[in-house]
Amino acid sequence: MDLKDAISISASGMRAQGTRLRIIAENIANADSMGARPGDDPYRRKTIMFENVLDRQMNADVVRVAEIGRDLSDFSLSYQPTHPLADDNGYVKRPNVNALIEMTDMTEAQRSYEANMSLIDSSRSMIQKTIDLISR
Amino acid sequence: MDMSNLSLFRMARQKMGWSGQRQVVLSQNIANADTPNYRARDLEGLDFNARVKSSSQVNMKKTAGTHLQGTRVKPTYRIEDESRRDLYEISPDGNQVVLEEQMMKVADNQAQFQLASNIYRKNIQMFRMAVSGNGQ
Repeated sequence: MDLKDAISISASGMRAQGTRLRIIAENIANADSMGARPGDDPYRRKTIMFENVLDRQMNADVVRVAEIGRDLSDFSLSYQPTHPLADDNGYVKRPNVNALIEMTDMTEAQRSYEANMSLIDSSRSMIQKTIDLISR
Repeated sequence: MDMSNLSLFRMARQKMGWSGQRQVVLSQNIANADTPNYRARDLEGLDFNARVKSSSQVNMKKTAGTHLQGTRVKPTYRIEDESRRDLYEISPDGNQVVLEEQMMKVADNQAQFQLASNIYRKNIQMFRMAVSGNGQ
């Protein structure tokens, strides 16, 4: 049935946004994770990519996580000579996580999640109306 | 008498089928709201005049077992990519889905579905009234 397909497509979108939110949580949680020894690389920010795949059973484009990659931008260096992880010049490498970007991403993920959610609501009420036709 | 062949029932059913399919297309759009290079789609509109014409079509009667059943064309609704001219905006990653626009369409679709299902129900009530004679 069409409307049930609509619900599972929306659910696939919600699952993808959920994974996105998990990646964002990992990034924020590791915003201060340093390397083990002086000169080691700290935590590298993760990125997520979506793709649409044709679900042959439903004949519809569902969404899927294509790839969880790494952000290859430079680490920020801060001058802290007394830090235990400082290199010979007194610099410490910090993770390339920008809290502002993560928060913006998080809001967007939440917004998309809510949109999918309200679509499920709408599909469900349409199914309910169809069922109501036989009740009277 | 086959109730489902009455033109008013059939048209209401067609409209409900169309709304169901449109819901699938819209949920695809919303699920893929963050997929790079995804193009929003919509269903071709339901043309009332064409439906009225096709609802009066007469099928050939099968009078012997060797006759072929007169074929009634199943409604197939064309899925169209939205033209560039009608788009609100395209995001930097090439995604052309605008959540607000899609939610507006979902609300519209739901209202149309409700209209069709109410017509269906009223029609059944009219039959009931004719059969029972007390208007209940």
